[in-house]
Amino acid sequence: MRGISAIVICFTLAGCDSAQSPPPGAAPWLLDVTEQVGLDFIYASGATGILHLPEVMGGGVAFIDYDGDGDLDIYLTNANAPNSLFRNDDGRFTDATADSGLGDTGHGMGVAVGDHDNDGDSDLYLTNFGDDRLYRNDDGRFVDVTADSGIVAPGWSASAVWCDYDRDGLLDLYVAGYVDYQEDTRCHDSASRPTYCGPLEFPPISDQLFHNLGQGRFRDVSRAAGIDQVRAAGLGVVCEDLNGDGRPDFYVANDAYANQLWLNRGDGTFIDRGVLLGAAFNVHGQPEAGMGVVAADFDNDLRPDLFVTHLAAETNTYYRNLGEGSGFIDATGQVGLAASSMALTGFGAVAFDIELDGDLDLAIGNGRVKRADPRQDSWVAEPWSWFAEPNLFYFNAGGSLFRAAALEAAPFIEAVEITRGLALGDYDADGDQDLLVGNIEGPARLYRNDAPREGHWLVLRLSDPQGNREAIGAVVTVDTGNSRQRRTVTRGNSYMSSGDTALHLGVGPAASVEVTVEWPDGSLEKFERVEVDGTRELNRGNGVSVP
Amino acid sequence: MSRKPRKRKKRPATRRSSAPASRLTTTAQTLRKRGGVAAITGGIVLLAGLLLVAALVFSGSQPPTETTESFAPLIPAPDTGSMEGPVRRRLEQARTTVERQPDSGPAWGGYGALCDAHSLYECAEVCYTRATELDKSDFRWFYLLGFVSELRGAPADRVAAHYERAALLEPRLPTTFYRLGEVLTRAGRLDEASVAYNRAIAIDTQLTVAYRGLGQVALAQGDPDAAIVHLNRAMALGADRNPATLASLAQAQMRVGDGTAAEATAARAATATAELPIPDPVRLRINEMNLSSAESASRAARLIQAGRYEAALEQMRVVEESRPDEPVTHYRIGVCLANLGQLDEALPRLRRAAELVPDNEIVRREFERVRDLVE
Repeated sequence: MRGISAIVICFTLAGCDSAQSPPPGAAPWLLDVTEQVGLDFIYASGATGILHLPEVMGGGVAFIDYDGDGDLDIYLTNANAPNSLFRNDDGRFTDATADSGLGDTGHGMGVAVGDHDNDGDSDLYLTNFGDDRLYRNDDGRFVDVTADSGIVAPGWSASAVWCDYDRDGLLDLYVAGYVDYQEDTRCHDSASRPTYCGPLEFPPISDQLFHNLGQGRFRDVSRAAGIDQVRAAGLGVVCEDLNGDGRPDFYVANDAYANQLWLNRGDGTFIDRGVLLGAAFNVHGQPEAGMGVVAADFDNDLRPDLFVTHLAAETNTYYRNLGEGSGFIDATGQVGLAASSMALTGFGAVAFDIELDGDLDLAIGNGRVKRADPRQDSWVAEPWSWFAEPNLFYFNAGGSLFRAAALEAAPFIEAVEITRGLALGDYDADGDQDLLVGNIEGPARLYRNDAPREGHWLVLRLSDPQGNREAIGAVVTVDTGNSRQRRTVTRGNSYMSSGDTALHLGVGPAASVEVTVEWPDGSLEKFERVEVDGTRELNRGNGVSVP
Repeated sequence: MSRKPRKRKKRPATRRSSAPASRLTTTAQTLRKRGGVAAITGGIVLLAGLLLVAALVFSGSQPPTETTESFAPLIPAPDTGSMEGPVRRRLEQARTTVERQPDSGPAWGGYGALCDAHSLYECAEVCYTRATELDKSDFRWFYLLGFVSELRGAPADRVAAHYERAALLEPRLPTTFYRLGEVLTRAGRLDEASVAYNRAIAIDTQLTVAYRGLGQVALAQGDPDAAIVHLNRAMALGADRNPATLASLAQAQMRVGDGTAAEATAARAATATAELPIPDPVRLRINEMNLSSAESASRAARLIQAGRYEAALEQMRVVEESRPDEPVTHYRIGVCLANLGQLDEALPRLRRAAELVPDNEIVRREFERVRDLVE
């Protein structure tokens, strides 16, 4: 929520329509710095005019410090061209694909960054329309270790997420499976024009869960875990403790099928409680076309809520976590996220505190999959203008209400493209999160966060030498004295994309805060008097253990 | 990155035509389609009257409306270039009608309805808006504008205002209030949604979907006990195999702590497939106006299933224009002709279908059956 000053200004200025609006002429808060930083990439869909569904679905993006130099590099999947890696040198990006071994030539969909061998550097899992690939990072050069890893994912995979579901200290891998695509199927829209087929035209495939055995080896435990019992056109997936029992669960956003809420039973098996816990359908009891998904505590009640992006003619959906095992309720309308998303098709979505005021705002990348008449303001030419749409940005106005942004997010929401991937990372290391965007048949874009900050701020980077190095899955509670915020260390929100693990928080007037970490194995540790306005490394064992 | 140049779209040529702006179906036809909906039996007489009104207005038989001074928008011209012939021609005819009668509400509304039927919502919204300006007495333009403007992202207040206006003009149609309830539910205005659903029920006490709506609102309001009452009422009125109703009921049962019942209901929801149709004569009419071969083929299949071969044949003739030599075209036309007793005409159709898909057992059997009858 913006500060009192803005509200005062609004009371005194005629025509001020929102407490969120900056003064006219103010600099945008999300500045497109793509050209300025040398990020030169186009997602080539490989479209031939026949309208094959895979060409309009892909385009994951990722922040990864692949060379271990402390700044965030960029990885971008591609379809009809090799994937690309861009090295960050003091805020300028240089194509480093050739030397990295990461120019995967598969039909690229998603990317999941994670240190699967726990050796201190970031590895990459790539989902493809076709065989997925696991790349191990050996000092900045990547080696395809798929064959030796035991991972076999030959179908059409979408998002993937690294998560230590059995809390043994090694990152396991959940891969959302989409559909068994048949190339010769053709579809038309209601007006009889050729268009991309929807998922219901094809048999859905099941998701896969790979258990990390150590030494770079994995076992497909989908059957034993119960995951393969459902086939439901999965696109987005997050790993988060959604019922408050301390164990990480999986939530899968399915395209036109009920979403799954796979509750972790703690014995290596999962049970889908999506329907019973109110997270499978919308308020009308209907399945929606789930694309991207975010698990985050939007209302600062210390419980993770869920946000899922959807097709046009559906709202995006906000599931409020009721806590105490009561599940979720579709509160999309109550929080102001319904009407503005109805005409748009959402894919990537990220939650971050743009102005560091203590609550999570929401950025959404849009772009149709069903053709429409071309928009007059499209940034892409026909036929892609049939699918181009503007993005959305919402300010969190206090946890129970979101407000669509206007001027502040102008460069981001005015880009009328076919956006898919979206990821967060502080590429310029200035303490706030920037936005990386992937567009079909368009450029990847980097938006620098230049929002004025509302009070003090803090960046937390966790390290767990006893478990997975980056502490993926650790739950952090920051107590400022006036408020508490809950964040989970993860790379795996959004759509087919991977963000950085650092936690960026606005802490208001507090000069120091108290941080409680629930490490992935469930143990608690408190870090007292953590100083604000900087990046703090929280290493396990350096705080006070909480019994 | 710089913006790529945008191609300028050519406005498609239009043909002059005096054809009515909307496709007609009779009240009797519509009522027959609705005959299978057991749960709304009590509302049939009421709705039949409304359908009559609807049919009259769509037929263009309403008196011309007076010219207004308000700003006239450009007549929308969707990109019809890659559309099938019947769709393209019909849209162009409707557009021509508007060009010739720019002050006619029914002309604008009819064009809007045709755009709406083909999911061309931008066009539909412009046309309906103009129709409401020119023809303030026809509830359906407001009703349809409410429906389409929500899809176009209009705020709930504006959408609700359209439905409220429609309800003022035609207070006997329960689905106006039902649609209003849906909009308000999606907007999170749950108390108002509940009122709207109850207004729908006040008109039609058997309106199953409204009870389901009330149940879902109660669930969202944190009152699972009330939700169970409403949802059980919906179940009793025919929603007992509807997955959305069952899923909501399972969730409500879970909330009140009845895990066993919740599990059982959720299991039923997982296998249930029955749709719960909304008895909405206005939207039904719009759906019937879709002329794409895919929609016509799908309607034909339903009509064949129902044994209505003449109507099915009519739909397949539309399909044939765009997909003349597809096995499904020949097969369904052959089946219709055979069942209408026109065996000599049916036989070459079925023979051709069997040639195109020689491995299809169903097609082969039907061909052999008719061949034996002819010989």
